[in-house]
Amino acid sequence: MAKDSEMLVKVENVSKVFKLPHEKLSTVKQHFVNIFNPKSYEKFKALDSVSFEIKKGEFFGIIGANGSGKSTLLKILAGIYQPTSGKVTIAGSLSPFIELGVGFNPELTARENVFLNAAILGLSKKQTEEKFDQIIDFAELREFLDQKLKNFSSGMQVRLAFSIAIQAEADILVIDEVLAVGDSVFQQKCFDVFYKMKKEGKTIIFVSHELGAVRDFCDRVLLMQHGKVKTIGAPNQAILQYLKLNSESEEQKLTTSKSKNEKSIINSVASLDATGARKNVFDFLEDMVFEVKLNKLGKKSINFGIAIYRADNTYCFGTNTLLDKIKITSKEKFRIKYTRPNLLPGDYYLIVAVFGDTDKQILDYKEKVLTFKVFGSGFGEGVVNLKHSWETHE
Amino acid sequence: MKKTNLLNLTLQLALTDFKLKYSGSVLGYVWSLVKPLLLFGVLYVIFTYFFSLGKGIPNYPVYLLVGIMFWAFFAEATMSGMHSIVSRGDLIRKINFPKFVIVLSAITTSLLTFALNLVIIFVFLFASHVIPDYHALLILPLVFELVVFILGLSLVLATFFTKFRDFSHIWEVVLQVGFYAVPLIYPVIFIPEALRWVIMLNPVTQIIQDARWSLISQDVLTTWKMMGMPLAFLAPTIVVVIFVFGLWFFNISAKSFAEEI
Repeated sequence: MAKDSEMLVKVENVSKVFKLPHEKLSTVKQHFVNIFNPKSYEKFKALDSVSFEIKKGEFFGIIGANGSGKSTLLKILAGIYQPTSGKVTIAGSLSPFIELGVGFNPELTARENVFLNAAILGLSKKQTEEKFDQIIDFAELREFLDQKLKNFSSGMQVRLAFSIAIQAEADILVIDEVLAVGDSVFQQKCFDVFYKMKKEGKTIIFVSHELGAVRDFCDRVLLMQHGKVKTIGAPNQAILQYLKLNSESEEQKLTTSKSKNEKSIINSVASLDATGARKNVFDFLEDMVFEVKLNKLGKKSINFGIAIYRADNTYCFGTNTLLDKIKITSKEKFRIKYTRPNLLPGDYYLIVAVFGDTDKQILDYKEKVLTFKVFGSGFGEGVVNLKHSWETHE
Repeated sequence: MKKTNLLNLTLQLALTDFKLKYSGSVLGYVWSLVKPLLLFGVLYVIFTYFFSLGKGIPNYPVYLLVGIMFWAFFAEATMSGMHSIVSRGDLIRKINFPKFVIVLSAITTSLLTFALNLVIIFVFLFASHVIPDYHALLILPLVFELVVFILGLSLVLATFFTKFRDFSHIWEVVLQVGFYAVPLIYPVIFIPEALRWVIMLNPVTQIIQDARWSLISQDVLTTWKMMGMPLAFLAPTIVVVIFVFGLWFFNISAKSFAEEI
């Protein structure tokens, strides 16, 4: 960031409390009848003293689980809601919408909707006319100009909406979840637009669940949790923390369901990093260690098998002590270490099994005993990044 | 948003509503003419043949028509102005822009229908050989006054309506009473003298009587004729006061509309 970069958006201690009445009073009679009864409502704190700043020319990402307060925060930034306490200062103009295609009417044609939507976004008729061709060409909807919008697919509608939205004249652009719909070709077009905007030094607030895009574009990322700011920082750091938050809650689920099964041999499986610290989210370049604890089972000799599956049930890799010709010496605890497994970023789970002298004699079998994520810039397609190098001959 | 862009937005919203109102119907815009004409036809038959109210009034058909068209505009515009904020809730919850535009655009939609109805009035005037002279130009400031009055009332009503849905019914009743409390179908002289000044102070009465005066005959009894000079400004003053109050009341409430509705 340049030294003279000015603060464009300044959010200071913003809180937002919603009063959720148990029974909404919306007629005079109801109010009259209820004059003597104390009104009953629940207070819900959607935002809890949120503070942050956005500099000029910054690509600022906001991530967080559903219900973490992202939308409320955006609505306050856009001026749709008023904060209960705290202050929002915005130098310059901010695109006032938080959703694409606001005011689109299915009964109107694409052409009419362009003019209506552009007017809602604050464009004059002349400006819209000047940009009309650009909008239609970007959306690739020229043949459908005079079709009613209700005959459009949802992807076509989003394309049209996005094309208009990027024409809105504002110093700060808010982009909320545009990548959720639309095919990969259109997504690529959106990315190109983002790159261009970034180059032009536009200030953009980007809200998305598409973590890859957040990582690629954002300069800084704000992670929201339960209406509070959890972290503001470099994209990688914030995303990693977000993924951890998610997997923590998953792990809790797993341990509770396990305790019921007392007879089982496998007590628990944990994922660790190379130093032995518990970890559910691995960087692409990291070593992975799984620690298995067994319930006491006397002198029986056992073998152990472990398989890594991707979330879409692709079998990635499996091995067992029989194949590797290993004897489990400790009957309580042992580890298996994968050095640089090179698994591509994604969600994975483990299946583990304990068996006797042959793999037909299954003593215990646990599906999805543990889930973990791989994150980072693992380029390539498929399941793993096989170690490779290129040689060219002239 | 720039002022010119706000104007564009108002027009876009108004035209869209106007288009959508008649989309899917075969006769389309014709319906906006048929409805008041039908009411006019029924009232005309009843009050000329059964009650012979109109006997004392020269050119009773156009006299009645002017009254009904102006009243229909007033009733429809205040109703849709009142509902506008709530019915545009999806917009208000997703985008921040001056809410005033929504009320204004709803009224503009009604104004478009009224403009078509004015054409009908002129057709009827010529058909009944009442040729308007330069007095007819007064119709423009009168329509302006009526729009300002409607806007003021709508701003107040729309704000109340976000909190109390009763206002839809309350206003309906007020309009029903108003239909008879304003001398639309009967001449002013039918009103008992003690009540007459109250009725004549109503800005709607003042506007309709002035419109009849300017279009049909300068013999029509108007508010200013009855009240004399300083008091003649009372009705327009009421319009301005309601408008200013409406603006103020609407603006202090508008910030919380997104959460209320």
